[in-house]
Amino acid sequence: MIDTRLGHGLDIPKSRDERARERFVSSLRAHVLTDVAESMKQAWEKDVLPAFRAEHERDPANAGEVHAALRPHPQFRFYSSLRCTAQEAVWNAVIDELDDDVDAFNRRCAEIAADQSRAQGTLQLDPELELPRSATAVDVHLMPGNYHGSSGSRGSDDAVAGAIYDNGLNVFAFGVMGEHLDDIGMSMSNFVRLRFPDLQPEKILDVGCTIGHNTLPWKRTFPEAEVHGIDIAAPCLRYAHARAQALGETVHFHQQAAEAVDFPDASFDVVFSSMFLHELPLKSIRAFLAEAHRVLRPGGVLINMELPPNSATTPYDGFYLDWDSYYNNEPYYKGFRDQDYKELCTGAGFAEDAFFEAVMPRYGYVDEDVFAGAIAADAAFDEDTGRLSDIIMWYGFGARR
Amino acid sequence: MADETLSREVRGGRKAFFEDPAADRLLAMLTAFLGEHWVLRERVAALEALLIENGVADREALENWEPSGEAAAAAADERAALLRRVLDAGRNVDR
Repeated sequence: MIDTRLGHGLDIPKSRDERARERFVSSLRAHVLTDVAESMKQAWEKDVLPAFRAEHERDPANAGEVHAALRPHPQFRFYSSLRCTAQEAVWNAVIDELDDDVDAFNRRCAEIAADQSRAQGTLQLDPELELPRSATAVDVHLMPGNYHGSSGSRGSDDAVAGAIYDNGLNVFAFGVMGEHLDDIGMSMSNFVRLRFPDLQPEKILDVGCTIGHNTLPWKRTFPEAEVHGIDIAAPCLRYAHARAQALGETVHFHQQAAEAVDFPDASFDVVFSSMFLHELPLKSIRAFLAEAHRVLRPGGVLINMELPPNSATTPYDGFYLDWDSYYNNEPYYKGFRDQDYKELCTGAGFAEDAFFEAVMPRYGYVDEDVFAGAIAADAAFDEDTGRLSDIIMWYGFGARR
Repeated sequence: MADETLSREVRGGRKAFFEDPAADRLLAMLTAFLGEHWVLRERVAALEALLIENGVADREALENWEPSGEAAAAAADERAALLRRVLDAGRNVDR
């Protein structure tokens, strides 16, 4: 059962019924992603795959062929319709809660952000920053208003999109992403600590940080380092700043685009992103990676937590992950997964032998020696890699400058 | 939730999967209905727990309670009305 409280100062009041609704939606998602997903896989193996083989005299060559063959099947329709419904229910449950008093929430968020007693983080917004059309054309993840907020902006203290995301992600994750939804950041930062013991990072940059839930773990893993997060969405950044202050972590947030980072050359030891690249058009991915190369010092590490590439997954598992590209308003997701990640890194200037990739258990859910053992091994992909479940394995790739 | 001031609309919309999008909408409604049913069950569970905790009733008494006489007749009427409300909801479709 999920804890409907976020466990930090930005918790919003939730009535008994609202809490029950959150728990219901969380269980609904877990059910869809396990039982209903399994039924769809069985329909694939028992009905659709044999028919495909009979017609083509071969197995499907890629995720796209699986998708095309499975699409008319009733089990695909049921899974997909229910998954969209669960996705919308996540946001609706949370938006209902926030609607009780939006202005009071924004005021409280601003007060918490201004309190410097526990942490001394900063926030720099850039009202002139032009949001790319790739970020504004559709509401990603079916989240009403998207990360930058609805077009009718609520004013200079608006942090609602951040609250929708934090509370929504908590429902969405059904308890598998860590107490503060930070297991990705915990896992990736500890991977860097264990894999590159000679690296003593002084400055760390999280790109596309949204509410900073995976930025803060870097400060915990490397307490001496100066940690920065950038994103284009002002409401998320206001929330991220307040959230970090509430949790007592000194982190600096800036409104900047990944394609044109406003930091000097060779100024960071780590550049990190999580679940970010797959939301970008290829042109932006390449521009970001070039920027990462530029702002990293020699010896510095680029690490992106991501979905595994289609080349590493079976056609069926590729289809299963790519589903979000077609039906969860993530238009660039499949285009990214079709790329050769190593080529993306070398194309941005990183040396070929500096590339690395890793599949790792969730840091907060295993003992340190199990985690250390797992990351010492070569990346091994299976159907649980990158797939949200209670036995999920995170995937990351990057390069050393 | 008093008024809806925050938007629930999704730019880009969401897809329908069944041949008739009405089926997608019905499934969404049924799921929401199931959610409200759960909300009620949690509230009943809370009520029962508090009744027991405060010595107003015990688990066995709650389990064995049966409506009798007028209460039983009223419950039967309410059940019939509930069935009508739910099952006749689509009575005009395709008439």
